[in-house]
Amino acid sequence: MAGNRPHEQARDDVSQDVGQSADKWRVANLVPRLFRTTAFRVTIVYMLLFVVAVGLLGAFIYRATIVEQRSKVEQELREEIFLFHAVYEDKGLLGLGRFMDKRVSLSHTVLYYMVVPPYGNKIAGNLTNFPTGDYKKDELFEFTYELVSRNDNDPFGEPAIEVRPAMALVTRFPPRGRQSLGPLVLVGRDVTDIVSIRNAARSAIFHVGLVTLVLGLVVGIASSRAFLQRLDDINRTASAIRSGDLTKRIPLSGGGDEFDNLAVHLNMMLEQIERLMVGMRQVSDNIAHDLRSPLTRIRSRLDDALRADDASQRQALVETAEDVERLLATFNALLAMTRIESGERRKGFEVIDLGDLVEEIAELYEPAAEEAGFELSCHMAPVPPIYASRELISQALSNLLDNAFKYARHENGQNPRPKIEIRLTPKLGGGALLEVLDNGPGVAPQDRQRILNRFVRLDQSRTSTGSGLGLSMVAAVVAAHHASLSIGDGLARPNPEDGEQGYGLGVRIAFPPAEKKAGQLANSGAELARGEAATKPTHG
Amino acid sequence: MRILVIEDDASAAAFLVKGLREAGHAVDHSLDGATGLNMAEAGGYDAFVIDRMLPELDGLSLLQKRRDAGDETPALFLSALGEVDDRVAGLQAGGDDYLVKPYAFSELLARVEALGRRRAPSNVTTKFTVGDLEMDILSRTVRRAGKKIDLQPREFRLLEYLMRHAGNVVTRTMLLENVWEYHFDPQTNVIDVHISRLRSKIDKDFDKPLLRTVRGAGYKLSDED
Repeated sequence: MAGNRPHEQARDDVSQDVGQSADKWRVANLVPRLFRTTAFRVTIVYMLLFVVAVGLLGAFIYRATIVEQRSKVEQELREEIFLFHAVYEDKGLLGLGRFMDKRVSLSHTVLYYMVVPPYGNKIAGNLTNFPTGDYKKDELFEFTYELVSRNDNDPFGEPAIEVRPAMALVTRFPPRGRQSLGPLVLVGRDVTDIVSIRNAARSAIFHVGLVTLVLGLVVGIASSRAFLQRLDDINRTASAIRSGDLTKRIPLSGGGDEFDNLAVHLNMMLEQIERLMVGMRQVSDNIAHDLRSPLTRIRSRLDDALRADDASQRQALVETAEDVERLLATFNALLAMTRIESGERRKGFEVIDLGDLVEEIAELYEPAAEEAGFELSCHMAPVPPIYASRELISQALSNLLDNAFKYARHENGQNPRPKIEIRLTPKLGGGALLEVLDNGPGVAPQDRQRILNRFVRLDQSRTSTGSGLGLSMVAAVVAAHHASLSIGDGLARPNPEDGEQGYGLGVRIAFPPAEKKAGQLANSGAELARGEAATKPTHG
Repeated sequence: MRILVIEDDASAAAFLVKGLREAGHAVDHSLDGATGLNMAEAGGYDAFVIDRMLPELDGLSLLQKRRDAGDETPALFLSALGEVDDRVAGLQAGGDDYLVKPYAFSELLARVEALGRRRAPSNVTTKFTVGDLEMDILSRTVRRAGKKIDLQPREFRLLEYLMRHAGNVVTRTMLLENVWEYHFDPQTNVIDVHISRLRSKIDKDFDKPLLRTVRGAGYKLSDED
């Protein structure tokens, strides 16, 4: 039967199994995982601290009430004994007995018991028995006694017997007359009130401690579960990404807590990784395209040359060497771009004056422009310094000029007066705007957005000579500088033949002003504006 | 020149050695860092060509050891690592030049020969002469056959570099790196045009051209025929 099952269903079952076992795993591991979380550990520590605090408080209250009471009782009893002793000294054993009985009749709470050794018979007092159990002489001890009370309305009925707690001191008076041993005297007091307070205090302390403990555990488990849930979100996203779904992002709780903060940063990192991955894919596509066709060309030329005569062979070799040279240039450009793209470091970045840099590059290109019949002009206003890599900016500018040379040149009757203009102006809100404008064929508006995408190139530039990576490289350099790039209209094209007034290509790069710290470059416009106020243009 | 090549890629090394020998140099070769170091210690070389990544002992450490021992033989690093940091690391280890693979042989040859020239105490000389062309660094004047030639500051630096390496081929990349201090190659023939401008100033009105184009390699300032 299982064999007849359609494939899809079978696959569904498998995935369900996997899901279930994952759930089981989660449940089975939840408890130990809870205990291992930081939140739980922190809660436990706090809970223990609370319990200790409650314990200390309890001990203080206990001491303040019970121990004080106890010593008060002891004091009372000692005074009583002192009094008895005086009576005993004065009136003897019998006198003491009478005195004792009289005091008993005055109070409900005092307990007396007097024995005379060696017979041990009771002489006076209201205790029926001498308390059993251990006691030390002259030390307060606790015992229980039975209080027999009769109902006033029914003097002959069964007496009620109540077991009550008491404290007492036992002392032996010195012998008098021919006695070898003095009387043993117990002076006690009913302590039902004290004991009930003590019990109440003990149970209160115990219960408060217990509640603290339980509450702490509950809060600890709850908070660590919440903690784990957020972590599980992150882990789930991570494993989804590991299994190839680069578009997954960590969900935000929206509370703006530190987890959201972390998630936002991780998501930004994931975005960057995805962007790089897409970039890498495009790079390999480009490599495939840009390297495969010249390699194919070389291959077929060599095949031809193998069958050809010496002179043709030599010619083929020369052409092949040129092809290889171009291949290397493309390869190097791709590598350089990937390095810039990765943006892993901004070494070689410094605060520079764009004006100097533009002048240097213009100076480098000026003779070539003149020879190619270009009118190369620079319009430069003082701009605030920017934080940039001289090397990379020079290279980008050089690429833009190469591009303009390539497309705006006077050829086949096109563009009889080729022009290139470099403009450098301070940007509104700080920073500098660098423009390279030409009066060549320009780029159609629908292609301009595409040209800004990383590694995307227009077909027309792909098919012409050179590595054709110029603008992509510029885009990479611009991105590495947290600058912005826009492709638009350049100079007016003197092309009145078809009556249509056109524009050449205009590439504009807006640089943020130099900040004290490089990391702040990417930040908000408000900071950029402040940067402008702080930095003065140095270029004259 | 006597050149020691330390390169672990046997076929690349064979090609390199053959090319250098054809250019008239005596070349020794080692396939690993340890042997290379031994050979370098034996001395007598005018230049080292060292691959950065070598078995046994890497190129940077090898040269560092020689420099620590007081060996001032000029050295050129070959490397697949071409980032600015890598160049800087190479120069800090005592390298005099740095060439990123893959390279054109003509580029390597020109640079190695420029290294040999660097050894001569030309760095402290302030006057250069090639044929009837004279340059005085201090007064910043250039004369040909006694006639003063006016040069722009950049043209002066360009000519100075060519004169320091007179008799040797100088590539476009070398000029870009040393005269303009750029480490990239523009696609436009910017250097050629600068050279032709310079040529028009120093060669145009004279019978014998001094600044010549070496096909497929670069330029050469020379009085020889």
